[in-house]
Amino acid sequence: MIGTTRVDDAGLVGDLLDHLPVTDRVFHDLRHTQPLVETLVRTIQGALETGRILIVAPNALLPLALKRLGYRVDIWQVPDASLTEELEEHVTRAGTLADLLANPPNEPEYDLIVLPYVLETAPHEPPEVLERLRRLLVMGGRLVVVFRHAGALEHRLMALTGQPPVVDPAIRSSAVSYSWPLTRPVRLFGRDEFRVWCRRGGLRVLHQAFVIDARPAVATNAMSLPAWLAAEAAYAAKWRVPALRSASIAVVETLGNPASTQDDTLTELPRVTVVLRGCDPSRIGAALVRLGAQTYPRQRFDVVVLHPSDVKIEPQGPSAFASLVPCRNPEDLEAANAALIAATGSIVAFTDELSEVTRSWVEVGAREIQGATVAVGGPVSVSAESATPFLVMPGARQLEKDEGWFSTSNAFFRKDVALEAGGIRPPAADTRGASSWATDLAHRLADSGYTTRFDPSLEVSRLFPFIQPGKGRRSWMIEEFERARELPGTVRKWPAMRKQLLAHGLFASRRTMYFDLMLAGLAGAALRRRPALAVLAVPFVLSNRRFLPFWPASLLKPAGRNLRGLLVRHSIWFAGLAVGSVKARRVVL
Amino acid sequence: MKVAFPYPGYWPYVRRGIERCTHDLATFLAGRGHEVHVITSTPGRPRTEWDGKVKVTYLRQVNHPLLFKYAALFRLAVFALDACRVMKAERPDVAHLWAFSGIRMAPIWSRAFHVPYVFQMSVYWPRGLGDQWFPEIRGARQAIALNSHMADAVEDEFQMPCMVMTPPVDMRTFGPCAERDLDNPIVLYPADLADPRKGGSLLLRAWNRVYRECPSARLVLAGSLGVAGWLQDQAGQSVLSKLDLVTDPRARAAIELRGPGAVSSLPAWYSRASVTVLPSVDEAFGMVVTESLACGTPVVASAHGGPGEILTHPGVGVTVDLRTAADLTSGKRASELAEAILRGIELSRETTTAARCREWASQWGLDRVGLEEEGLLQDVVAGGGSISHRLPSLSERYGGVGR
Repeated sequence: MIGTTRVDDAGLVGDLLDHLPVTDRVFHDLRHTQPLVETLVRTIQGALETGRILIVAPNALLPLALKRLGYRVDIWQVPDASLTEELEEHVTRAGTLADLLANPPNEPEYDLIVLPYVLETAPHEPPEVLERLRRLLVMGGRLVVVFRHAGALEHRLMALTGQPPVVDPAIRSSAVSYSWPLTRPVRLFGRDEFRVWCRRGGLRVLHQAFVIDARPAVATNAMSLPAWLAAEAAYAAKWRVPALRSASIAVVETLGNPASTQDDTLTELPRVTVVLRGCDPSRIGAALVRLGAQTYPRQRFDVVVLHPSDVKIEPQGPSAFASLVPCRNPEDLEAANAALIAATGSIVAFTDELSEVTRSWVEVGAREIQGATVAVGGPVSVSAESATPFLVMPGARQLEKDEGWFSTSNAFFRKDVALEAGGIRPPAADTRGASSWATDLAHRLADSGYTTRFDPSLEVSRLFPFIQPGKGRRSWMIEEFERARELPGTVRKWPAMRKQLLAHGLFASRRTMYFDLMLAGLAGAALRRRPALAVLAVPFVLSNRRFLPFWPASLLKPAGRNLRGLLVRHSIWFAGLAVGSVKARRVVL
Repeated sequence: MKVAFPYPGYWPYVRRGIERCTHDLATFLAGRGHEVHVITSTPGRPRTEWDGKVKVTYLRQVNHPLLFKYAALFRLAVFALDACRVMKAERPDVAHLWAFSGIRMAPIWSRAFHVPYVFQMSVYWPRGLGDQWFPEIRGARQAIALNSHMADAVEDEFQMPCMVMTPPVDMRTFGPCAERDLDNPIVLYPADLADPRKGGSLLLRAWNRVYRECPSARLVLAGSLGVAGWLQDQAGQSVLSKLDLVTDPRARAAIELRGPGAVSSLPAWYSRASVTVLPSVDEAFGMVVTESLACGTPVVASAHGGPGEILTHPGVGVTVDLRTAADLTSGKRASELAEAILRGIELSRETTTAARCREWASQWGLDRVGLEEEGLLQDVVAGGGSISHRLPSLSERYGGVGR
C-alpha cells in the first residue's frame, strides 16, 4: 500500500505548490517537505477510496492535496502551524497537542486519521493517544501515522557525537517552520515499539515503511560547501539504506473486536473454562484433582471434560465441579471446537489427562490474556515415564522454548476472538490437524494483528506414552504418520515458524536430519560402491547410542529391538514427511 | 500602451513594498486599457499566467544553497538576462524598472531594442557607490524616488533630475473591515521579521514597558521571515532570535507569531489592531503605513524617510526620532518608542481617529498615483527623450505632504 501510485500525485502536489498563494519562504519550506506529503497522499489513497479524514497538526499542503482528491478533510490545528485561508473552514478544533489529545470527542466519525509527527511530540503516552483516537474511527477505519524513528541517521549521528537526540525542552529555539508545525520530540521510539503500542491500543499495523520525509536542503538556505556535501551525503545514504531514513510511516487499522481489548481495565478476574481431554477415568480424575487445587479462585473457572462416549466417568469428588461432555473422540477437532463454543468463560484453556499442570497454571494463563494478547502457550516438559527415544515430531516432543508451536495440552485463548477467527478448524484441507490446531489458531490470531505469546512460566509436564491409552497397539503408527504429514502443510501456511520450529529450516528434528543423512550415506555407498559414504550414518548412531548398546553381547538383543523400533519410526516419519511435502509443496525432512 | 514591469519578486511569493506596488500599478494600468506584462520569477515551475488583466510571466529562479552562500547576486543576474530575453520578444513601449530589478545592462539594451524605461529608486544606497550599485539609472528616461529626501540624494549623486512618486494604496482593498477591541489593544508589527533594518529588536525592547503599562495589550508579529535568499536568519538577526529581549515572561507570552498570512487577511489584521508599528530606519516609503491608515489604524514609525513624510499629522500617528542603525539599539529610543506606542493606543481610542487616518491615506490612493504613473509612462513613450524637468511630488500636488 505504501509507495503505490494510482494518480500522478507528484504532479498534483507540485502543481498545488506552484499555485499556492504563499510567500517564498513558506513555498520553500513546503517544497522541502514535499516528499513526505507525496508519500502520505499515496498511502492514504491506498488505504481509503473515499471518505472523511482527520489530520492532526498538518502542514498546508497535505489537506489541500486531499481536498483536491475529493476527500472530506477535518483539521485539528496547533499553535505555530501555518495553513492557507482556504483551509480555515476545515479547522474543527484548535489548541495545543496536549489539549487536543486530552479530550477528543467520543463519536466515531472518521474513516481515516493522519498523525504526522504527533506521537513523538505528544505529552501523553502513545498507547493512550492511539486508544483515544481509535474511538474516533468508524468500523474498519484506519490511522496513518508518521513518526521520526529512533534508528534514523540523525539520531545515530547524535549518539555518535554524544548529543542527546531528544533536546531538553527547557532550551528555547527560535526556529520557524512554515511546513509541519515545529514541535519538539519528547520521546524516541522504533517500529517494534510502535507495533506493541498499537496492539495495546486495540490496533494492528497493516504496513510500515521507512520513508524520506524531506529533500536534502532548503533551496534558499545558504550553506557552506562542507555543510551542503554532508547534507547530500546523508540524503544519498537514506536512499540507499531505508533504515537510516528519518521517518517511518505506518498504516494501522482497528482490530475487529476493539471493545474487548479493554479487558485489562476490568477489576474482576476473567472467567476461565478449562477443556480437559481424556479417555482414562483415573487419569481424568487425577487431572481434575490438580485443577481443583489451582490458585485461581474456583468460582472464576470451570472445567469441561471431553471423554469418549463409551467411557463412564462418575461425577463425584473432584469431578463435581466439572461438566462431562461425552464425544466420539476427544482428540477430534470437532470436539475441541464444540467445547470452545460451549465454554462459559471468556478465556478457554486446553489440556489433557496426560498433562500435569502446575498449581498456578490457570492463574498464569488468565493473567497473560489481556489487552491485545489473546493466545498464550507455554513449555511442555517430558515426564520421566515418557518414551523419550521416540519423541521427534512437533506436538509429540518436549517444548522448551518458543518454537512458534502451541501445544494442544497447554494453550489459553480468548474465546471471542478465537471464534471470530474461525475457531478450531483443520489447519490444512488435506490433514486432520489433530496435533497442530492450537498452533494454527494462534497463528491465525497473530495474522489478524493480535498478540500471541509463549510464556515460560506457563509450564506443563506431560507424559508421552509409547501407546496412547485406550488405543490399539498399532495406532501409534497412524498417529505418527499423520503428525509427520501435517508438518509441511503447517510450515507452508505459517512460514515464519520455519526457522524456529525446524532444524536448519529443513528438518523436522535433529534426529530426522541424522536419519536422512544416514539414508543418503547408505544409499550412496550402495549405489556408488563407495563404502566410505557409510560414515554418514555415524551421527545417527551416536545420537542414539544410549538406546543401541551393542556391548556387552548380552545387550545385543534389546539393542537390536531398539534399532528396529527406531528404524520403523523413522521410516514412518520419513514417509509422512515425504507425502506431506509433496502435498504441501514445501520440503520438510 | 504596452508596459513591462520586470522585477524578480512578485505576489504571492514576496510580500513587500515593491511587489505590492508593482501589483497595484500593473492592475490599475491594465484596468485603464493598457497591455501590462509583469516579468518576474518563481521558486516553482516557470509559467505564464493572468492576474486579472495583467499578464504575468514567472521565470525560473536559480536557487541553490551554495549560490546563496557564495554568489547571492547570481540569481539576480540570471533573472536580468531572462527578463531581457522576454522583453526582446514582447517589445513593450515602455518598461518600469525598480532599483533591484537587476537589469544592469538596461542602458545598452534599451538603445539596442528601442525600449525606453523609467527607473524608480526604492532603497537607500551607500553614498558615492550609486553608479556601481545602479548603473542602469543612467539610461533611464526618468528617475523616480519614493520620497523627497531620496530624490535629493539621486539628484545630488547622479546629477540628473528625479521626481517623487510614492507607491499607491488601494483604498478599495484596504479599509476598516473588522471590529477593534479597545480594551485588549493589538500592536501590529507587519514588517519583515528577518530584516534588522525594520527595527524589530527595538520594538521588543519597547514591548517590556508597553506591556508593563498596558498589560492587556498583545503584540502581533505578522511579517514574513525574509525574502528568500536575501535576508535570512543566519546570524541570529531576526526578531525570533531576539525574543529574549522581552524580559518579562508574561510580556513574552503576550507576543503572537502570526506569520505572513494571506493577502486577503491583511485588511482585517490592520483593522483589528489598535496601532501599527514600523520602527525602521532608511525606510524609503513604508507601504504598511499607508495601508494601516487606510484601514483606520494609527501608526507609530520613524520621523524620517518615507514614514516621516507620511505621518505629518499628529492625529494619524506618532513618530520617533529613528535615523540610523544605532538608534535601533538605543535604550532611550526604545523608551521613546514605548511612549509612542502607548500614545498610539490612546489615539486609537479616540472616535475620530479611524476616519481621519483613512482620509489621510487617501492622498496616496491608487486612483491618484495610478494616473500619475500612467501620465508619466505616456510622456516617456510620446517624448522619446529624457524628461528634463522635475515633476512635483504627489504630496505637493495634493497638498498632503510637502517636500
